[in-house]
Amino acid sequence: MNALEIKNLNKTYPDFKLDNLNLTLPSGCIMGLIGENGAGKSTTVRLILNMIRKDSGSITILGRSHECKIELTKEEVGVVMDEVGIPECLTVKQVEKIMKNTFRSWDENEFRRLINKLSIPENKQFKDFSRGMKMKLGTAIAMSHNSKLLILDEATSGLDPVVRDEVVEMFNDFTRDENHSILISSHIVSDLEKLCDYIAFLHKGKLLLCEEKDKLLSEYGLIHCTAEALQSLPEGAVRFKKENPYGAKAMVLRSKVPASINICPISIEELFVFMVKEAG
Amino acid sequence: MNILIDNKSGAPIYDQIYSQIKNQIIGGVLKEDEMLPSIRGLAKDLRISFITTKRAYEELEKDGFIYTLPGKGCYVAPKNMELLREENLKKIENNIDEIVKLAAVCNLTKQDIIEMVNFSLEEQE
Amino acid sequence: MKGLLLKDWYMIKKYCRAYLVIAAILIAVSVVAETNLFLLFYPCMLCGVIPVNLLSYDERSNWLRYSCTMPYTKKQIVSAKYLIGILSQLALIALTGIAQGIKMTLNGSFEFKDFAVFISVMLALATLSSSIPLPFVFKMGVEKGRIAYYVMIGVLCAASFFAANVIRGEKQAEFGVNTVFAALGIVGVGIYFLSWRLSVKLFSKREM
Repeated sequence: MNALEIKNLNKTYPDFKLDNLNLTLPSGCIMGLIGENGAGKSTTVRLILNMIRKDSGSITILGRSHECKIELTKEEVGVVMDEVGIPECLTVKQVEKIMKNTFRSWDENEFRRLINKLSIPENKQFKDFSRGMKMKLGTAIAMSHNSKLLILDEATSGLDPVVRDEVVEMFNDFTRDENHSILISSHIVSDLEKLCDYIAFLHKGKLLLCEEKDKLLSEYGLIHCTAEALQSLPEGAVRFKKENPYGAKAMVLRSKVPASINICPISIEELFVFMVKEAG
Repeated sequence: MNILIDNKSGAPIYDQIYSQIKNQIIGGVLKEDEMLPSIRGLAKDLRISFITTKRAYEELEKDGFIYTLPGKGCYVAPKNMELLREENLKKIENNIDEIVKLAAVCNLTKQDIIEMVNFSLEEQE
Repeated sequence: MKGLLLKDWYMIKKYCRAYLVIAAILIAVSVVAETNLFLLFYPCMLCGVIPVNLLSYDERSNWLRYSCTMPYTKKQIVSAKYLIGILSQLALIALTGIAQGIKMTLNGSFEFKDFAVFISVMLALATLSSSIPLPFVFKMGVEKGRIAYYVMIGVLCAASFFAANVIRGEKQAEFGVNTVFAALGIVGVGIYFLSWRLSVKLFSKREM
């Protein structure tokens, strides 16, 4: 089963257009949605959650169509956005009671476990939380109602490296269960680089690619050489190049480069930057 | 069992896992019929994509080092003498290649190399 | 929807304490002092704007958006505010009603007809102060919705001033006028209901 299926999704704003988006997230996988600010990541997430209306296309979450009773589907979807919208005056205990009365399958023990694990203060008001703490609480809530799908929109941005590592660790553990899937959007690619099974690049409302991460890394490589050497490569081998007076760096298709040339592995971040530049 | 992933080395991660498990099977660290960690569990412990570990396991199974019991997990295959011999022959060939290369650097003749090998053989006895 | 109501209850406890104090003082004063319509009706209007205030806190903390990620329909999100609104209004009217009832009884001037008219006008005032701004707020957000609220306050003030004059002028009120006032409460509740339907419609269309 697929945790998420998006087909031919369109949404037009006066100054932005999400253009015919197709995405499939197989169950048990983590997909990283990468794009610069304003590329359409949040629009996509809000469309998935039906917070904004699509112009056309279809969305299926956990095998259920978007059209029918999406609020029931949301029981099994944990969401963390860049800002956790908990009223400032509430304490963790009050939030817990609210959530217990919100989600049918609220798991008190799991919530307790996460609160302790993340050392979230229980009697402080939400307004006195640091950003890191706020995000941690949001994440704990999202993971405490037996969610099968986590949708994380910039959930790690603005966190210090230590907290980010903790949170990423939690996401990693979440998918130990093969029925659990994650869609995570971020412009901090390094967060997603190791974690994800699938990578999707979004640029100006268009999907540049959506592929298994390992496949991408084995398909593309980097070469450092002189501009002349670059010229001599077979047609179609070079996808994008950067030249300076002393040499050149190019993103290449490994399969088209002769074996005699040394190809370095490329990082997802480099791949993304090159692809965005290629797309213009 | 130890598996060390080096992100900076050029080798693909699945390949690093493949060769490390293989070496531990050949080296006897992993015993026959010993259960291996689950594909998903290993991926999560190493914090890498499960597609990566799946691929490593698939390669290991294809090459006869492990076998899968559906619904149960993956196990170390009984040592296949033929396979081991082949592996070792491959290693010998690689080492000889290395010797030949180094010999060329040191301007050794064919005779010199044969003498050195003979000497080493006598010592072993 | 229980979760939504619970959350609003926590918020009221925290932020609307001042309102409760003001309302309590005004009710107390109204019992002691001579009948003054301002003292009676102002708490109603205060109470009526509680849902709008809750919404403004919700908007500031991004709760509205957050609750849209939870298993709630937009209808439930709207309904929770209307429910909290009517409950707090009824509670306040009950309190004031009891206080005035006791006062009238002690004065020996208790008459059911007057009492009913008085309750009815309070109900109309309280519900109207919610029903008018809420659809605006649900459609446009609190900032713009507030403007509608101030316009409404002006209209209501003028209306209550007019109403006060009518009551004073027609001390020995004719039955007809009394009926009109008695009907006000029912009309108020009716408008509240329509306002709820409208807010649900408007909020469902709003993009979060």
